[in-house]
Order: sequence, then structure tokens, then C-alpha cells
Amino acid sequence: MAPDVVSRTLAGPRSLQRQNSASADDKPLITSLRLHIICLVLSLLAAFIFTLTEHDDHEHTLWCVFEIVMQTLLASLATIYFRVRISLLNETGVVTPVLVMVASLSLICEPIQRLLFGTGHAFEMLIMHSQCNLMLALAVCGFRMAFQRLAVMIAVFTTIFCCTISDASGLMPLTLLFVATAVTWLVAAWWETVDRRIVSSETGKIPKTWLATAAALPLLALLAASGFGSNKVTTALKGFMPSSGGTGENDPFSRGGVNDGDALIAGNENIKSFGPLDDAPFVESEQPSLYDVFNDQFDAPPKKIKNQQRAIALPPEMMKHIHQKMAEARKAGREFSLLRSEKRGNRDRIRDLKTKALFYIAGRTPLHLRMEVYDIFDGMEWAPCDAEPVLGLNITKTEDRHWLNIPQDGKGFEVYAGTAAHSVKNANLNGNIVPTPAHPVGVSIDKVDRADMYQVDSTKVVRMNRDSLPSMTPISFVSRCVDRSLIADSHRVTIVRRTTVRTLNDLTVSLPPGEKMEAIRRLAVQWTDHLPRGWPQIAAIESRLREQYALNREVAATSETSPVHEFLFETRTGGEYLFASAAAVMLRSIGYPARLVSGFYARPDRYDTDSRHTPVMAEDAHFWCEVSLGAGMWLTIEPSPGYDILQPPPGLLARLWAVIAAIGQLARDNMALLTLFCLAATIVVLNRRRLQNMLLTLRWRLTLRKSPSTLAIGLARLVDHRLRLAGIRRSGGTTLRRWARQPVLAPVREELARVADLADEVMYQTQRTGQVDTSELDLLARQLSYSELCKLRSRAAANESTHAA
Amino acid sequence: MTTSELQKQPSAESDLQAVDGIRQRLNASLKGKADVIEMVLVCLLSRGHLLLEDKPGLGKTTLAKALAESIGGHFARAQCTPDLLPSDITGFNIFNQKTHEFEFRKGPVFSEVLLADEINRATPRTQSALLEAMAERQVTVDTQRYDLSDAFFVIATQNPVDQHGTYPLPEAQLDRFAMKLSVGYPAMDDEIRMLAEAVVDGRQPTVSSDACLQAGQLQALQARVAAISVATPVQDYLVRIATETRSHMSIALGLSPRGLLTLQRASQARAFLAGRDFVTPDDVLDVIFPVLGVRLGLEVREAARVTQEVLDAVTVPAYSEKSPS
Repeated sequence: MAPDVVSRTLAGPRSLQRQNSASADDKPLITSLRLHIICLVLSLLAAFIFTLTEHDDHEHTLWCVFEIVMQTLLASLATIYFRVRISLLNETGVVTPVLVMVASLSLICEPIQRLLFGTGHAFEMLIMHSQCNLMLALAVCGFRMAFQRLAVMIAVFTTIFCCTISDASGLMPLTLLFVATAVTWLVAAWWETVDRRIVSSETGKIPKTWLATAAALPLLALLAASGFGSNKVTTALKGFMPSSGGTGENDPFSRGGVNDGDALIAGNENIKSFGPLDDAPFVESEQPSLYDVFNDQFDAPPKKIKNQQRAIALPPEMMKHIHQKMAEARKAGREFSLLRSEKRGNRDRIRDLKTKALFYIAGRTPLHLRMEVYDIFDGMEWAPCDAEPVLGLNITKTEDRHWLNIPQDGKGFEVYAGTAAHSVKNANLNGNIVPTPAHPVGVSIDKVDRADMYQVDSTKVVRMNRDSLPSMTPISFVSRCVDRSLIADSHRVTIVRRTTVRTLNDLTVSLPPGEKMEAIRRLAVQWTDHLPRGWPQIAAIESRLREQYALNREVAATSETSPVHEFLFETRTGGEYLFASAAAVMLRSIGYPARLVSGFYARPDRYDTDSRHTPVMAEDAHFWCEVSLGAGMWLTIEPSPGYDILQPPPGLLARLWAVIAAIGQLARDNMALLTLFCLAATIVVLNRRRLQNMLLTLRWRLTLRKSPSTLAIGLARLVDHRLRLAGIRRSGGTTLRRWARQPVLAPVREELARVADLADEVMYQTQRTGQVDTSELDLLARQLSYSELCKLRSRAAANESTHAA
Repeated sequence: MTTSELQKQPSAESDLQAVDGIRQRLNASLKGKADVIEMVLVCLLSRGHLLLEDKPGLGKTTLAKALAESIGGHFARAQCTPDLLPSDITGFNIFNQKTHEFEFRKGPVFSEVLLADEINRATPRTQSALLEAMAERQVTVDTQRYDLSDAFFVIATQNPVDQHGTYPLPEAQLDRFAMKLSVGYPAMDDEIRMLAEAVVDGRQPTVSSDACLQAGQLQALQARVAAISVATPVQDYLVRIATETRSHMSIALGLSPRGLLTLQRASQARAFLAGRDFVTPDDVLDVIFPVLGVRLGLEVREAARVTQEVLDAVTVPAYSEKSPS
């Protein structure tokens, strides 16, 4: 079938449209039963295809069959019911509410299903469900051509969508059948309307206003989205469909996706950057790698590695796969080798990348990454005590990963709210300490299934059991987030206060003696004395330091006896290590076990929207403090201003509130400008008609430079615009002179008729006999001013209301 | 309607005075029906024929007679009945026994104004004979062709109420009429005035029976009307109206090219009566209801509704600096 025929059939003939949208006397056209049945079959086929796609894991075959049978039965029975009561339904407005209800059924049921049964659908499948239901309902209501057309369009979309995402076995024959039925429907629909086409071949008017609005809305939405934050538009819209975990979150009801979600996809061609990809192709290099590709079942390694470290053996099938893959790539001339790419083009860029960041973080920020914990303080120096290694580490295998279980602390504390997933990818970090988030639960490196590859000590700092961290290998963490509001609830947590050193662990409360330490203690007491014991006192010290002391890395401590005392009482400014030390010392001085932690701080403002990772630079090295809540749980305290702690993943309401708060903040920051803008906008909106009139009048006056004849026509147009602005818009089918017969325009009828006379004369008189008097035109323009017309309009409205009363 | 000095210029003063005379005469005969009389004048000046459809006793015949008197022509009347023969309309040959020759006796069509009363009661054959005369302005009797007067003007009437035993005019024949008008009941004041004037008080009737037009003046007026200019935007508007009637769902047969010509001529006549030498869309809108009313084959009220729908669907030419004529 020719494309134009298809498009005309889908668009419908003009006469048919007119008949459908005719006055109340005309009943909408009823389609034939034959066409209705074809449409229903088409929609059912699309629904079958969707059902197959949804159950393409073959785990619920019976349910799939049941669903198809029920769809067919319900749709057929409903169609029969509708055809029987066609006259009744066609006249009442019951159909549209029913359609809306059917379309929103899935959306309403989903939260209930998730709440009651714990099962649910991915967002896009939910939308497709809703759309599929609407399609069937439209097909059932297909006694009107408009409904049929919409049903067929949805069916086509559904089928294309399903064919794109699924490889279910029965899909191909069903799709072919669908195509055949669709063509049949097109032919039948065209044939039904052919007689009306012969009568009328008029082309319809394009609703330009609506088209422009439809095109402008997405654009406006994009602009609006780009207005918040400094990120790109795409980043702002990222995660709208929570399928691929683009926001760093893991929606339990989402399907597997690409990019930075659950299943990261590695590039194998023209790779210019790297990310924490678990299945990135590995090449054999001279650099020490965790996955040095050798296998003790085979011969010696293919290349001599200078610095051989502990490595794991990949299974033979994996080995084979990697070698085969690389061989294929080489055959196609798409060699991939990081070493080679360093030597060839783009060298600078790759080198730049390596030199800039120590490592990269994927996941939510801000994030404190712990590297070293210092327990012992002698007044001048912090020193770590020998942490005991955690013995008996074990690996848990999930679907496709091996997770090292890290013993959890703080058992019995109900202060956790949600988990966070992060990946660390080392670029230039030396040593074997993995930058570890607080409260880690598990750590995983793809294919590493041996616990002895890791070392975890009692401070929960994770190390690799080798000299250095593997480069280019993502190390994934799952950690728990602490909700500080839960700690604040004193009924949940009782923070132990210790004043004496009983064990080695109690070194965390010990302080060197001296006057200066006593002064610090007095200051701490002064800050916290009015507060109850426990969290409020800790929080007070933290907030006091954040609020009353200034962060300045340039200022170094000069005191050779007590830098902390100097910081607290004299300079009141310094680097983070002074803030952290001050916090730890103050906390210790009033009996709370506290310690210093060094590591890195992943700054949210460093987030790279292109690579979707947060690089951590050398200058992001950071110090903070931890306080013990008891039972081995150490809570991060951030006394340095400008640094934040990772909050629990926000819920929907919290996210909404955050958006509102961000907007509010933006408004507060630009209050003067915003007020001015609002004022101007209000004035413009309130006086928009007056302003329009002013502009139009100005334009008309500018035509004075042209001939007076055009001025007369311009006046008629101006008066027309003024009538529109005053709410007395002339309908397109009548002339200005006839429109002047409206009762509301009675006082200016003569003037309007005169304007029409003058314009008609210029417009229609072939042999012009007289000249238009510009002064008369000017007078008429003043007599028919916008304000005068508005007065007439309001007077008429007042008269109407008086009559009504 | 407001007319400017500029607009009054083109028509000759005497012509307008003559038309004013007819208007006054008709107004005196038929009280309170200025709008109907205006359309009758439009019909007369556009050289079309008029179909009056209304109930009995509303002044149809009075109007026809007054018009005949005012234009100074011979007035004839044919009361159409089912037994009326074509020859009763056109005339017939009769054998003269004295001269032993056939001589032609002229029928009522040989007049300036013919009132065909209750035309729908005549048989289709008779209707056809009359309609040929209307269209061709000639009759053929026994192979002999006879020309009718140049000013031949038919006012046909029909009664919409009593349809028993009538032969409704087919659409093709209705197209011969320029307009269909309904006189309607007069207003209360006009009826009181009419009653007052009907009381015989011995005074002389004020309405003169002299003709308002001189011989050949009507044809001159009709020629002047035909020369009124119609600008391209107006002609475009006329054609768009015709196209809309052809695609309208409620109209089986849209405006024919002959109907379109009639509409333009009627608009010209309207412009002439307004004292202008050019047609505006207002002129078209003034005459479109009676012109379409006779052609759409619809009942009077239905025709008005459909015509309004057509007009609503077609936008009038927009004032534009780019397209002054």
C-alpha cells in the first residue's frame, strides 16, 4: 500500500472528521463490524506479543497462557456488549471516563502490589502495561473510528517495542501475523471511507497553534530541567526511568540496563577512557594486575611480568573467551591495548587522565573513604595502634558476583537507614589499602572468589593481600548508611562514656595530661554542659567547630606543645587535621571514645557528567574524626566546614523536598533579582493586553510612513486586534461592519462602520477616487481605543449580571 | 448602513432617485417590510426572478402589482392550477375565420412583470414552459419563436403550508430564480397603520400609480449594476463559499456556477443600492441568504441554519496591506 494512502487512512478523511466533531445534532459515525473485529484482533495480537515479551524468561508459562486467554475472553465479551448497546454508549459520555480508568488501573494497582506482595514491575513495563490495557479498551470501543485509530497506533508501538527488547521464541510468527492483520485493517479502513473521499477531497487545516505548543512543551521542559544545578540537561534528566540505575540507586523493580547500572558494558573498540567496568576486556600487560592472565593448567605466562604479585586463576573457559575475543578484535583491525594506545594517538589525553585522579568513585557522593585510623594521641602526634586482623573471612556468592563479608559492627543499634553501593577504581594510588567507605558490609571484585585475597582489620579498613592495588579494576562496596536522626533519639542509642583506660581499646579516650588539655576540657564542658549526655553533646561539639572555626589549609600549626590548643583558642583557623584533632580531643576530654581518621573525600562538585564518575584527586586527602557508639561501632564526625557526610538514600518525598529546598535556596540567593523579575512578570501578565495594544498601535503608527491607504487597512486590523484584546473578538465568518451590530458595540457602531468603509474602499475599489484623510483615521483610532472597548465590554457584563439578578 | 461621501459618488444621481422612487412606492404598498423590498430591488436590478414563499394574504400579490406599476411595465398574472396548460402561459395560435390565417394570441409571459401565483400548483409541464421563458426570455409556439420583453421579471409565489396536490419545483428549475424570499407577518405598528389606512374617509389615496422609471431606464440600471467592479479577494470569497456548499454534509447539491454568477450579480446590485461602485464582502453577506435559500433545496429555517454554518466555516477576506486591489 502506498505510504500516502496509509497516512491518509490513519489521519482519516476530512468529511469523517467533520462528522465526528459535528454539532450536537449529528451522531458520531459508527464503524462497521468487520473493521471493528479486525481492529480487535490486531490489538489482541499486540497484547499477546507484549505478554510473551513480559514472560520471556519462560518461568511463568502457565500464567502467560492464562493471561492471554483472559485477555481474549474479556475483550471479546466487552466488544459484544458494546456493539449491542452501541446506540446508548455512543450518545453518552461514558466511554472516555472508562478509558481513563482502564489506563490508570495498572498504575493504581502497582503500589498496592508492591506493598502487599513485595513484587512489582519495572517502570517502563508498568507504563507498557497501562498502555496495553488502554489499547485493548480502545479496541473494544472501536465503534468510533478515532478509538480504532488510536488503538492501532498503540498496537504498532507496542509491537515495535516488544520486538526491540525481547527474543522470545513465539515472537516472530506472531509479529508476522500482526503485520498481515495491520495491513488488512489499513485496507479495510481505507475502503470504508473511500466513498466519503469522493464527495470531499478537501485538505484539512493544520492546527498550527497546537502543533507549536506540542513542540514547545518538551523544549520548555528541557530548558526547565537545565535550569537546576550546573550539570547538563541530560544529566538532569538522567534517572527519570529508574531502570539502569543511572542515579546510582538500585531500584529492586528495575530491569537490567546499560551504562552505569547493574550490568556495565565494556567498550572494546576505540577506548579512550575507562570506568569501573566489571567485564572490561583485560589485556596482558607488564603492569602488575590482579587478573594476570595465566593459568597453572597451561604453560607459562605469555609475557614476562616484571613484578609478579599474587593473582587469581581464571577458569579455563573464561581464559579461552578472553583470548578468543581479543583475537577476533585483532582480526578486525580493532586492536585494543592500553599500552599501545598510550604509545599512539591521544597519548596526552590518556596521560592527563592518569595524572589527574588518584582513583575514581562511582556512586553517591559526598563520601568519606577511610585509609588509616589513628587511636593514640600524645598531644602532638597521632599514631595508629596495631589493628587486629579479622579472621575467618568468607565469601558469599550472589547471582554473578562473589562478595567478601565484612563483619558488621554496631549490632543492636537501629541507626541504619538503607545501603549505598560504590565502586572504587584505582588509577594512581599506591599501596594496598582500599579506600573504604564507613560501615562496609561487603566488598567484591569481579571473578575474585577467594577470601585470602583480602585483609580486613578491626578498624574496617580493607586491604588487598598484595603490595599494591590492581589498577583499572573496579572494587565494589556495599555499605550501610547511618541516619543521624535515629541516633538523636536517645532511646535507641546510649553512648557509653568512659573516663579510665582499662584495655588497649580504651586508648581512644586517653589524653596526655597538662594544663592545655585541661583548658580544652573546660571548653568542651562549656560547650556541652547544658546538654544531656550522649549524642546532643557530640553533635554540639561538631556543629560548634563547623560554625565558629574557619577552614584554611594554608594556615599551619606553629605551636610545638599543643597545636590543638593553639587552634581552639588562638588561631581559630586551620586545616582539616586540626578540626578533626580538636573534635577528637574535645570528645575524649569529656569521656567519649574518639579517634582520627585519614583518607579521601569524594567531592560531589567534582562529579563528571560525561564519565559519570567522581574523580578523587590528591588534594582530596582529608581528615575527620570518629566517635564510638559502643559495640564496636564508630560514627563519622565531620567537624570541618564545607564537608558533608553521606546521607541515607532519600525517599521520594525527601527527594521532592530536596528539589523544593534547592529552588527555595536559589530563590533566597537571588531574592532581589527574583522579586524584581516577579514584579515585572506580574505587571506584564496583568497588563499583557494593554501592552499588546500599545505595541500594535505603535506598529500602526509606524505605517504612517507608508501610504495612507495602507494606514486605513492597518486601522481596520488594529481595531480587530483591539476587539480581540477587549474580549469582543470578531468571528472569522463575519465582517467588521456586521460585527459592529453586536449590542455591546452599539455606542461605537458608527465609528466601526466608518473604519470598515474606509478599509473596504482601499481593499476592494479597483479605481480609487478619493484620498484617505489621515486625521480622520487618527480620530477613529482614538475613538475606538482599547480602554474604550474595555469599558463597553465591562458595561455590557454589568448589564448582563443586573438582568440575571 | 453608513455611506460615506466617497461611496456615494459613482452612481448617477438620477438613477438613485429612480430607485428611491420604486423603493418608496413598494414601501407604501407593503408596510414595514423594508428589508424584503430591498431584496426585491436587488433581484430586479440583478435581472433575476423572484420566488416568494409564504402563507396566503401576506401581500405577495400586492408587492408584485406595486412593482409592476412602479417600473412602468405591463403587469400580468397567472393563477397556477393543475389544469393550467403551457399555452395558457406562453400564448397560442388561433384560426381567424375572417382572414383564414392562424394568429398568435400572447400569453401572460408577454409582460414586464408576471405574477405566477401558487406556481407549485401547476403541472410540471406548465412549470417547465414558464421556466423556459424565464431562462431564455423567449417562447416558442408551433416552431415560431417570440422574444419577451427585456425587462421581463417573474414573481412566483408558493404556499409552504398546504402541500396537498402540489408539484414542488425541482432543484434544476429552482436555480432559474435568483432569490427566494418570505414576506412574513408585519409588525404590530405596521398592522395598525395598515388598518387605519384601510378605513375609507373620502381622502384621495396618497400612493401615485405613475411609473417611477422611464422607458428603457430599468435596462440601463441593470447594465450599470453589471458593471460594478468585484475585486479579486471578494471573488475568491465567493468561490470559497460555493466550494463550502459543495462539501457541506447537509447540502446534497452545492452552489452551481450559474448560482455563483447570480450571487455575484446580486452582490453587485446590493453595492449599487448602497451607492458604491465596488462590491464588499458585506454585500455578499447581505444577499446570500435569499440566493442560497432558493438553491439548497431545504426548508426555509433549515436553509438559514445551513447557510449560517457555511458562512461560519468560510472566513471573510482579511484586511491586508499586501492585497489592496
